[in-house]
Amino acid sequence: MRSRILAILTPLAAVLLLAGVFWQLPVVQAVSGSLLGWIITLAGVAGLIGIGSLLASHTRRVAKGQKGWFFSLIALLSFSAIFTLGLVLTPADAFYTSLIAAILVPIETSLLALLVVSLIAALIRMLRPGMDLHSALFFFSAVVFLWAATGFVPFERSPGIQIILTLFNTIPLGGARGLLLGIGLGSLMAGWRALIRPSLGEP
Amino acid sequence: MAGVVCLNCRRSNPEGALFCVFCQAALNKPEPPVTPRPGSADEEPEWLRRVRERKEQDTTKPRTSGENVDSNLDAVLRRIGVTRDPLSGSRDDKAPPHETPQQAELLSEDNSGIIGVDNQPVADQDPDSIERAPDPLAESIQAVPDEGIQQVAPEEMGGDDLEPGAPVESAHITADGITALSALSAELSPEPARPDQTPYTPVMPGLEEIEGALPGEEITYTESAPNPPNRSVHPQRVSFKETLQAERQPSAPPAYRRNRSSYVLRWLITGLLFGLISLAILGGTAPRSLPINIPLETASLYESLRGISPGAKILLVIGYQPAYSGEIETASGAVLRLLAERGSHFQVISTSSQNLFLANRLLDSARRNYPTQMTDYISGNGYDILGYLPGGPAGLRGLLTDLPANLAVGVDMKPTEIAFQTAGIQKLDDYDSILVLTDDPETARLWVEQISPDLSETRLWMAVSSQAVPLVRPYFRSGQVDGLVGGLYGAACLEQVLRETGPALRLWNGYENGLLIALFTILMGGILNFTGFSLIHHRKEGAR
Repeated sequence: MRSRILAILTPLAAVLLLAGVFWQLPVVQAVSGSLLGWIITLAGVAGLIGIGSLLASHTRRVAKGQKGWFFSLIALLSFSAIFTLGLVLTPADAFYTSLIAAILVPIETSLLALLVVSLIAALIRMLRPGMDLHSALFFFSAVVFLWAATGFVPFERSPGIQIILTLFNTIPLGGARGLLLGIGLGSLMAGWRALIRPSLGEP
Repeated sequence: MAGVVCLNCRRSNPEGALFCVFCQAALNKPEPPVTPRPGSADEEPEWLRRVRERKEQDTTKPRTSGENVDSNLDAVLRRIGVTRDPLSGSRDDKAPPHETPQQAELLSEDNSGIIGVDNQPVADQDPDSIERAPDPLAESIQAVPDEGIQQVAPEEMGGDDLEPGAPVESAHITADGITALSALSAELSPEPARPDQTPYTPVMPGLEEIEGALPGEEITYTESAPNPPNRSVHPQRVSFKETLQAERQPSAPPAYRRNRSSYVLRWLITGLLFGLISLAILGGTAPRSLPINIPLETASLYESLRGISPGAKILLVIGYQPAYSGEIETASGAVLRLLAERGSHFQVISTSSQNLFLANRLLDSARRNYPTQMTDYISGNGYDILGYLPGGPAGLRGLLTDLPANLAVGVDMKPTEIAFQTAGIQKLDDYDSILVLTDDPETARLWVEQISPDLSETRLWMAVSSQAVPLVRPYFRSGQVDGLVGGLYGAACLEQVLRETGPALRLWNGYENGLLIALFTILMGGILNFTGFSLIHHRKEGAR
């Protein structure tokens, strides 16, 4: 019974939302807007549930003294401090935003810097006897586009180099268009399947 | 139909059959009724009475198969006129049924315990183990040259006709003799039939009653293991089976092996990058090797920025993670500077809960880089932070349907109604332009696909990270994005157009140095790695 209701409601909601995209009628817009409001609210509730689950998991680990309980304790304390400060000071407070920025930005940037070093080391190790064609193409592409991004291109104004640079500029453009077309077609098929599927219970 | 009843299985057989069609036992002919002579009890020979008594005992007493063999063997031997040595003929219960001691003794020529039906003269046997006994079979073995095989009543036969030492072969064997020998062969069969067990009938079921139906051989079924799949014929099948087999066996994930050479290599790369980039930044030299080719999308953005009206209302979308704040703030610096120069009013939203605080940081950064143009831009004066837009794609669609309702509360937990009223914004189309700042191609795609088709006059600009440029550029080429600045490269190009040294050009030397060092390290390290592995490979080949 529940699956039948879902099987009716899901395509109905999808059709109403699609109608809101294509027809600017006030009634359709009102219904579509209400549905969007519900979706946004549900997404927010899902976020709250996720936070609650995370807190429960870390609390359980600390209570049972499982492996890594100390880091869980740090996570719980940090969450409590940030949450309390956010409630008291509001996210618009200059001190509050500076505090978060002073923690988050260096940490995430350092991770990216480490990623750069790891990727360079991986590329060095990639070049070895017996590497396959895909690895060779990947290595070649990485080197060429790194060089192109430096702006250090000798004889850049010469027509021959310009043709080569245009070619290098076109290859990723074509690849990206192919990817975007694939994503678009995949999304279309997934949405269409959700619309015409008779029962949500079926795999 | 009058038939012959088998004494072994008690079943009726066709008349004239020599062997039972059910148990293959030799059929004993029904003995003709013996007319007792007057005073027969007294006149009956002693040996016949003993045989009869023993037969009666045999029929009344249940026997095991082994006993059947022994007793029948004894009976047959007695009937052909010999007895066997009870010591040498003792049965070994542990012997396999296929070769009982009796069989072995019978089949061996030098067996001294039994006088068989072979060609050996009776006189050659051990006289102690031979015992002449009056037996119907012994009496039936006599020279009958003209009569052939016929039934002769035991009492009509002379028991002393067979001379000791005469070969058995030379004697004519009557029907009883054949019957006895058949019974012997049947009862010495590997699995003698038992009365309580249905005997094995090798004849096809349903044909038992038909005379002359040849017994078939016992069908033996052999099971063979299926042939293993051949890799050359079914490579996918073999691979699939191997994969399944491997997945059934749980294996621990490979442990991280710290390699000293990789450790050194990473520290070397880190040192090179850190030292040379710091040197370039702290040196303060003028930017060199600046790009000559201005990307088309950057030039278009510049043209679009020049066409913006004074006091334009701009929606700034913060859609990047804190890790990319350095690059995006640098990339968008020149754009914000141009907009601030024209007195634009910014309204800032963020599409991720993690980057709520980045709005203030972005505008602070722009104020530091362009203090002259952006002096007046403080929160509430020049820009409003409207807060976080939840819901992802649904939230974006919600902006189109009802903008103020979807951004009802600002980041300071106050209603945004006043900010919208002050700026005169009721819907997205009221903005002159939307500037999306993101490091994620997915975010850029959502804005292009969900928002751009519904905008009439509002321009859509983007300032994105270098990694997102290839996926956003097609949208610019198709006219869905009005201008794009990509990473530090695009920002440096824009600042060159503006003929003003901004944050991008100040960082350009360090940026270029970093890329060149990375390129050099990859090429040199790769060549060394390739050479080293080749040498190792050749050494191994030589050692082989």
